[in-house]
Amino acid sequence: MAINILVVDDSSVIRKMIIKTVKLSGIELNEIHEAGNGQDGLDVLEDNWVDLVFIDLNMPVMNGEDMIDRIKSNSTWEDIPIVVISTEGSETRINQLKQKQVEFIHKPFTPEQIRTVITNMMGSYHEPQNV
Amino acid sequence: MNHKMYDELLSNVGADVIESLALMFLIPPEDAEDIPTEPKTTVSVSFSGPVEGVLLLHITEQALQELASNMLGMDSQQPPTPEHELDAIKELGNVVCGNILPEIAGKKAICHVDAPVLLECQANEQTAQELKPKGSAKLFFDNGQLELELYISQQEQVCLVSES
Repeated sequence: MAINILVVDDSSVIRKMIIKTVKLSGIELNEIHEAGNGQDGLDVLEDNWVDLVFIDLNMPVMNGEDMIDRIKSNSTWEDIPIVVISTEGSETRINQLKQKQVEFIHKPFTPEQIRTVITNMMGSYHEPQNV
Repeated sequence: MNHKMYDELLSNVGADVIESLALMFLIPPEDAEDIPTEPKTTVSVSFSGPVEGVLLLHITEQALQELASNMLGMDSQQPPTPEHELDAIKELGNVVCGNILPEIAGKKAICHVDAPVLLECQANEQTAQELKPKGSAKLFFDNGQLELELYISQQEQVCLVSES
């Protein structure tokens, strides 16, 4: 089943790298949405069905952690799987993030890491609904 | 950590990150005599927390083009835009900094990394040169070089000017 993804990162180069890596990992993609910060990402979610969100942490306007909190507190979005892709190296911070029920991928990343995380997350995920 | 350990850390992390991000592989310094060393683009990444300081990255023009092209997956017929190049070197700085801080501050320490900024002012380069970095590394590629400099402690922070 092809999935719709949203990639939120303030770097256009990294957004394209993530999309390229997801494609290389063999995951079939349908719609690909991009946003440069957390607020723009939420705007995308308002208007589109998204099966999986990739979020950076450090971004202007709205950072990734605030975006995650907004998603988790919204009854429509709370079950959307979230993958944080970040340079964060602190075990303390990573564990704090994982308590928000998100997966974490450390930069630099490989297609194999992306595929493993997506497979693990989407395996227990319900079918997409109509917007 | 002594200076040599910082040098090795920068060299190892820099090489690993640029290989993973952009599939750019190092050549030995003795094979790099003819590669261009100018002009360079300089980006700084400031960090704070248990350790405070700045990581500077100086990259030569052709190496920067290859970095951006490879990160974007573009073919060589389509050169990356200046915006892509700047985005690429900033991201490289961000990832290198994020990977060296746990080695310096410890894996449980929480550090804050600021958004990377382009250093445009020559005065800043002079300021940086007057200071002694804790560590530095030069990485050589077929078509250019990347130099990393790490400054630690508030007293040694480089005075930065944000890009406009």
